Amino acid sequence: MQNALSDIKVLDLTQYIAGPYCTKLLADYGAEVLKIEKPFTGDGARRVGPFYQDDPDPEKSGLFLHLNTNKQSITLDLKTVCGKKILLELVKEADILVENYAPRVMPSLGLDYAILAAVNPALVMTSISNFGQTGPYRDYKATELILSGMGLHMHFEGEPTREPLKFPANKAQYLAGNYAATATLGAYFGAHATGRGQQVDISIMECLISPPEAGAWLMAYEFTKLETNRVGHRREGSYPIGVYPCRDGYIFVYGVVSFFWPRIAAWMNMPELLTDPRFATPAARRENHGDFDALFIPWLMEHSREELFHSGQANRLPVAPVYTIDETLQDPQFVARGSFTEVEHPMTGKIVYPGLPFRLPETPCTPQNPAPLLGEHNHRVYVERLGYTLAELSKLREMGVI
Amino acid sequence: MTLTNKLPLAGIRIIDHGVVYTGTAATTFLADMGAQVIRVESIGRFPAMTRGLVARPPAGLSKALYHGYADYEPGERPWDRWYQLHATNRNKLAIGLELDTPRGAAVYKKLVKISDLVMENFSQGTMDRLGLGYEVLKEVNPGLIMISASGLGKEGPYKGYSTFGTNVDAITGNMALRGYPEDDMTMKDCSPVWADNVAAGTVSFAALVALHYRKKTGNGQFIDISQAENLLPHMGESILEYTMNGRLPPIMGNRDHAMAPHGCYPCRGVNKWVNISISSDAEWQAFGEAIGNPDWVKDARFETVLGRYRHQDELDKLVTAWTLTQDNFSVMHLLQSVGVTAGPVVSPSTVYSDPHLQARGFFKEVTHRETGTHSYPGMFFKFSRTPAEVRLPPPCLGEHNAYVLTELLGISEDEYAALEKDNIIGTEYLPGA
Repeated sequence: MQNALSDIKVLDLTQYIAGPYCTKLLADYGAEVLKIEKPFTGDGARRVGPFYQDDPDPEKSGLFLHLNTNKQSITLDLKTVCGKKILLELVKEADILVENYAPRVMPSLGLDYAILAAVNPALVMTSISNFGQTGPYRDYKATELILSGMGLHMHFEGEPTREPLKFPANKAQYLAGNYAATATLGAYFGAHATGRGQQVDISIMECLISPPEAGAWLMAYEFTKLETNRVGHRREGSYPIGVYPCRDGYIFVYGVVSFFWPRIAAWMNMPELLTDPRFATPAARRENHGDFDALFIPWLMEHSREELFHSGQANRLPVAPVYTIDETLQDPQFVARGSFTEVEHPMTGKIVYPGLPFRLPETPCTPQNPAPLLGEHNHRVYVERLGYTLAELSKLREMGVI
Repeated sequence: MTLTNKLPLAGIRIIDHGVVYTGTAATTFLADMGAQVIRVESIGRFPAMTRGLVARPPAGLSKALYHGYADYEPGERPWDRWYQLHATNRNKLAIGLELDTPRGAAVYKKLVKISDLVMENFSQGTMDRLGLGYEVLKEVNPGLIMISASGLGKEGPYKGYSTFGTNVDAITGNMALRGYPEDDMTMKDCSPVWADNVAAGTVSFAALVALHYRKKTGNGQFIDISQAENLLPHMGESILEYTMNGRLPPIMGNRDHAMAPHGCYPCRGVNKWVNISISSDAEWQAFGEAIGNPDWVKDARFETVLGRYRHQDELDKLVTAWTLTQDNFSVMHLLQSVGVTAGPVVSPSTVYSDPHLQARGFFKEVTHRETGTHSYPGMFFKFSRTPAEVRLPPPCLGEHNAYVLTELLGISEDEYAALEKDNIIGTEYLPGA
């Protein structure tokens, strides 16, 4: 059996999160991904934590290790004439090049799409940046926080009386990497069929305002011109909704639509709720939520999270346990499906990583080979593939090209 | 259109049973890139939160309760005027077909025979209950790819459990990481449904991976996608923090583990906010100069990265006193002009009026039969040679019945008329739907 993307060759000029997640997806499903890193320092994510045993070694960054599984690493300085020449040699054999430098960088290196396409007309070049390759914000800087705000999602997250909130960790950049992988593979289909590639311009901001949920917020505004605001932890619509305490933790209850109400009453085994005028309509339940909580919370406190999860689901209610990551790792569903995987890396030994986002029964794709050490594959690529001699390799190293 | 200019996914046909967010958006991405996507929708069973909350909202309610319909008007065909339909279904065809009738199922199988991929995110077991699970469809079309997307997966001990995107957030541990750092677990805001946004990307990517594999081997396959599973890689460093060091990541709110100031600050006006993140001493200097070097920026406590990090609470109060006098977009332009990272918290209205998005042509003007001309959010990617456009407005229910059944499937006009008469195909929801 061959891996799904095993015939696709990718040159990876990415760093930090969005670009590396895009190429990780391609690599984890079998593409050959050659990561080109700056000599001596490499991908900036190598300097970002969390670090294995809190040792800030560039080979021990959990962020880097996770984002670069199944890739090979070579070092190459693209600012040198020699470095550019070597890159063009590699471009000749590649199907896809992904980069996420600031938009001015590739043209300033003399490596814009026109130059790369002259060497390889079938090349798909994906350029991921904060705001895209054109437009007045093109050169503006961003962090995850800035992207969260300019990507619309922060407007809806948090309490209405307090400041908007960003999502935890780096969700905006991961989403953009994920979407970029779809667009890249789509463009590759066209290049493969016609022999003509193209440049794919991915703006992280646009990736954030394009998903279904943001699209719905925008369309609702366009249709009604109603300005919305954050709704907070008890949300809107019917009731109950949100995170509630139970005997040994917390349970998430999502009674968002009114037809869940009879199921809530059945779950609690309190049919009298259905004839109680205080709870007769969604608006009444919301208005009298304090009265309801006075019945609901003591009942929840009599039961364990696990009991409530299964009994709620048996009543066809979308309830779920609220886990912290240590609990997620042990959940029977994730364990049974193999949602996590162990990866052995020379600097950390075996560590549990998140597994593939989906598995293909037809192909053996697995995470994974560990993330490469900086320049680990220099010999394989420069000597075995491009035919440089060992003497030339050490000269290139001496000159700082690799 | 010349061969080389046709859209990259031209020639691929996809059956879309998308409901709510995940499936509908994933197939839209593929439609934008040129696939022929056909929504197959029941006319007897209404999909809540896809074409409305109910098929026909009662008349005479207050205007606010019609929020979601274009111009607050449900009109004659409410299901064609609902915002969620319009947000995610451009470039698709739609047929209204009853799958739980033998004649409807027969029509469906004809369509499956000439399609490459079936995508469904119904509540679990729906396709099997209809007798149209993968094992059956594979007999009809051996090369078929079928993607079934659900919250927790089709297999495993929680098989059959029902979820929304927010449940996925709870069970993956992501919800526990959300929120204001000092608040307890019951204060978690579960409004934005992030898992659905992620799953839309995963489903569209999975479709292309499987299509590429089939091109090489001729083999189709069934892909069981769990939204919970595909959120986990997006939490990679948080998970590794635990698996490497046995420590749960702290709840950071808007703060960062290295940068300070790093927060969301109130600005002039109602509910106007700006985010600022300062990562270096040089940026701190530039920030001070840009805001006119007030005394407090020279405070020795704030001189170094570590000092600013340690005294963040005081620093945030001082930054807030300045931002409160400023317009949030002006703060972005001022600070970005000196190399300091800042940007507003945008809202739907400011996204629509944003000069950057306008200059990039993000919004697309679309004219729809039922709702007239509106500005629609566009695509998340720009292709240089084969740009994606809105070729078709979001489809009305059953709008393409005639094209799909008679032209694509070769069904005779008599048979078509009989199917219509017997309510097996249609363009309106049946009473009681």
